Amino acid sequence: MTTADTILKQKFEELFRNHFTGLCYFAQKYLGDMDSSKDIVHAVFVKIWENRHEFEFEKPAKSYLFTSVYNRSMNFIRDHKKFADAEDFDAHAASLETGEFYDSMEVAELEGRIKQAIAKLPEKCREVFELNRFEGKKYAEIAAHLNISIKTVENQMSKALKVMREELKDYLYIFILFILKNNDFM
Amino acid sequence: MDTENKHIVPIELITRFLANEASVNERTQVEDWRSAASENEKEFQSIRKLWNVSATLGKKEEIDIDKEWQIMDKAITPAKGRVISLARVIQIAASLLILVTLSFLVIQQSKTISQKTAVAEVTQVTLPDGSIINLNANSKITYGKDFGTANREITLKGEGFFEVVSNKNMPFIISAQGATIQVLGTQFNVKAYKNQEEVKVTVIEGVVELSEAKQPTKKTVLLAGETGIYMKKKKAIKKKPSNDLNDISWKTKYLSFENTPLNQVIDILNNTYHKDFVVDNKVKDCKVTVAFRDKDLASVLKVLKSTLELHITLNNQVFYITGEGCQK
Repeated sequence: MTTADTILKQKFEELFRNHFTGLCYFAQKYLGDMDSSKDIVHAVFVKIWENRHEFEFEKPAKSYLFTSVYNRSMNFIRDHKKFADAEDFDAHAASLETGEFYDSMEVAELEGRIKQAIAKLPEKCREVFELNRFEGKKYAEIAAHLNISIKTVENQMSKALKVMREELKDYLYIFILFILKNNDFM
Repeated sequence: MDTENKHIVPIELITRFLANEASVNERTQVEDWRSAASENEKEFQSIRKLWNVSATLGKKEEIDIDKEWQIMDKAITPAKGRVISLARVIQIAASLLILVTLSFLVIQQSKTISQKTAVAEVTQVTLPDGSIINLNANSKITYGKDFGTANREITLKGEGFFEVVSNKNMPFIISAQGATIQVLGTQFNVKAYKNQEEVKVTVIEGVVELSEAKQPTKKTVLLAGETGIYMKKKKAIKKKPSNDLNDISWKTKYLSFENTPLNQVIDILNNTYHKDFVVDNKVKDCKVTVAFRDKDLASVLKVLKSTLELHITLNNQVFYITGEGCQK
């Protein structure tokens, strides 16, 4: 591999790691099935790699990625005729025209990024954070459950937020600028 | 920016606040911090977003991104040391021969090659010399079959963003609505729609020469950051600094407005997103000051809607924009 190829591949990998999860959640919303969703997202990235010399890695690619996944999902549904009648399909296809597409895109992207950030947390930190956020356990309950002090629970919780906040800094900031001006969003 | 000073309230406290584990006194501390500066409020909002969305993710399937990347890596890495049989070589040679013959026939049939875009479509075209053109909506390029070998001449109707591969021996020449644009290798945008009175050339990088088609020797040299305008009726060329990023927003999706009347903003949105708009007279002079980076149209409209208190409805592919109007 030449140096130029290596750089291209690094950029490609970064794009993949940033967006893969969110794109899968997005496709799953339409397809229901995670395996098919992953296949579709993989196919979109293979296509980008095939066109890597023309693809502009410097430019934000979010809209392009989500639109490609959306189109492939619609084709998949059409080919597999999962919907009982054409009306359902039209209702889905029409969502590209309304703001629904963009809202789903932002939500899926946000979910994907945060889910990935949680997965990267140190094990203990992640365990505490998930017990609180996923299972709704209070600090005292978590402390009792894991046989640790409440202070430790507190430390792990704030550490989790701190690490994730740092990881998603740029992305969240832009996102927040957007929702502060759009209180009706989400 | 000094991040230390912004964190007068430690993240531990914000976490307790969000987890409903904070005392009344601590809650007040956080509230005071939030209202002290808009930066603080933004900081708080982004942490709260993280917090709230996390709660919904327990039921979301976890994706092992390392594993997925390995699958992808394998898919895009060509297999090494594959043995190709003689039969396969002959097969490939035969298909190549057919392909070459077919291409020859096709080229023989048409002297020129053209690419065009529909009303709401942007296409990227790679020319035989490797130059790239992003064609905006409703645009067309035409070039001869000898493009890239004998010359680099091309005709443009509409708008294109050009990234021209450098070739000192063969200048790249664009004919556009009575104007001629000549370059060696560079990046620039040409806007030459038939129904507009000007041909506008915005240079991003390198040097571009603009002339009237009938007077090719009278050249105006444009440098990066300059815009050349050919006025079709007067058959004259003028030059100005291209301080307007919006000229190329259809390609970059970077938009910035400063006290720009809404109807001008909408014209630019139309050129950028290829949607039709009808703007009510009451609001057409409302001033807009905002910047967007790679936002989709829905997001842009949401911001305009809330800042100018507009009503936006979509009917038959047309956005209707109305409102009470703005104070002068």
